[in-house]
Amino acid sequence: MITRDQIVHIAGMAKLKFTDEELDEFEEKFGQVMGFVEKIKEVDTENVEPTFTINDEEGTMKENGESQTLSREEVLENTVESQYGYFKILKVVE
Amino acid sequence: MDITSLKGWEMKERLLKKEISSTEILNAHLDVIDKMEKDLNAFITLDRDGAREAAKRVDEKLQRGESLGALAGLPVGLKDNILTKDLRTTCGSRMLENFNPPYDATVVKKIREADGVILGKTNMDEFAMGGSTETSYYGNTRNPKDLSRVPGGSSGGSAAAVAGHEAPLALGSDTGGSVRQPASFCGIVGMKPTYGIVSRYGVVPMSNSLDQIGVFGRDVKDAHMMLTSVSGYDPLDATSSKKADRDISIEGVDSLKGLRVALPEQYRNLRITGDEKIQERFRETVKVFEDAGAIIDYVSLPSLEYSLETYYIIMSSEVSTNLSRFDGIRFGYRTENYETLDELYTNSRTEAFGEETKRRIMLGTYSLSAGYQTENYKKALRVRTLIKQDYENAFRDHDVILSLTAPMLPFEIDSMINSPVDMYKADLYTVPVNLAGLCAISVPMGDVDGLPVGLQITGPRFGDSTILKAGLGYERVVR
Repeated sequence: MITRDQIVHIAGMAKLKFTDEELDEFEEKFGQVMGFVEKIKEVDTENVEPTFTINDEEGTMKENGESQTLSREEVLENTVESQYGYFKILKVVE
Repeated sequence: MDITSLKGWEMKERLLKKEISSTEILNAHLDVIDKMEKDLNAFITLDRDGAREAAKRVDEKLQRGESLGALAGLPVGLKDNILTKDLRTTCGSRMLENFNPPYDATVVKKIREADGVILGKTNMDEFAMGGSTETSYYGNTRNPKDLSRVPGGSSGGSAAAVAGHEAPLALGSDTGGSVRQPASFCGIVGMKPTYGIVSRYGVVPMSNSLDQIGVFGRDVKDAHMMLTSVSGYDPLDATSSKKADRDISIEGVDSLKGLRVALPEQYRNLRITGDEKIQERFRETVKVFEDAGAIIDYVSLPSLEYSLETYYIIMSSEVSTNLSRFDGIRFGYRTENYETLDELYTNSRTEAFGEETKRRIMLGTYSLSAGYQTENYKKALRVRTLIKQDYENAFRDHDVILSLTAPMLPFEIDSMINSPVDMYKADLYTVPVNLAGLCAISVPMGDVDGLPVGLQITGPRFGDSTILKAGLGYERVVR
């Protein structure tokens, strides 16, 4: 079973915050889902390779060079705040 | 004549004979939208002006005697997780309420090149997470066959638009059944093609190794026309297959004679409360195939039993990493309430993501967290290999697998959303197809208690032509 402290810790990693009431409900529903996926542990997977992606063709390399790109205006079009042609964020180093 | 009651391919035939114009086709659908949309809520954003211009261009081409593309003059609805240049793309989320993409997805480019008319962006569960279109920030969509019920999901808006005659064709995305299940719920055809044959470039990813663009139409021929208009190898999508350019033909088939059909043993014993009449309908449908000359056989795919669990671990893990891009900085919602950078991230995400999205991010973050990773995520990847191998074995001497698409009828709005595990179980027949990267199509197999149910025809990787032909064969037998 997953503890409330663990849930709060995972939420911190996922950059999410929950109220106490949400945590109550979350604990219950999260527990349900976690309990349900546990079943996978009974499968024997000794000597079975993992499948990360289904496509078995070899990856292709792109030609080095400019193919397609977006203009600075297009890139900044959807941000809330920009300055001097950059995304504007808070100062993170003193 | 009511234009909207025609199939897409019939509209196209009449257009090419100059019996109707693209503008007339568009106006007929806009009339339906004006009447129905307040009930259905199939669209999040309509692009009436863009559609009118596109239709006009098609009509001008036709008048000049120029050749027209495969979607000549046909209105198309696009699920709102497919990027359209300068046309708002929300993913059904508050997070992207004001997001105007700076470029078109490859499939959108292809639709424009094929002379399709993009009508607008359809409603969906938030970030494609859900099976009812009830988790959309923009209100739920209703099922045109019964307005008190859900259309399925997550591509519920696309399915409702096609079933409700607001558009003849639409695109959706299918990560675990999100095209096939709403097709089943709305009584139309929905197909998830083989992983890798339709480009995902410009489609907001939910779970990259499972996501696939899928197509909707009111018959198999329409689904085929929509599919072949958007499929093909795309160097901009690293998971695109070189085999995607192979011809997907439905020529030269009119019977089910000799079709080698497999029925998974594991589904024979699988029961969900209230599915008796749907199971009965399925048995009758198998009989239809048998009477038409198909060879029916039971096969065992033992690892199917673990497909739901495998799916939820892999899907949520990929969701949690994909949705980490939403940081409130480069695009998407930004909170007004922050003093530190960490608060900016956390409050933006907390305020703009819905409950189901947060639940899956949390589950995925847990699956991928240190100490737990090998136990859960890597285990799921190994079981995925077993599922893939089971299918490879089954397809060694069978052409298709038949099953239900969904073990339930479209349910009443608000009746399921509080039970996530029940909702997940509804995906039982569809998720293994995504895990193994196969193709599958849902074709209407009549009604149960007056509500539509779908037959799922699954094929091997790159067997898209085979399942389309089987679907066409079935349509012809029951017509």
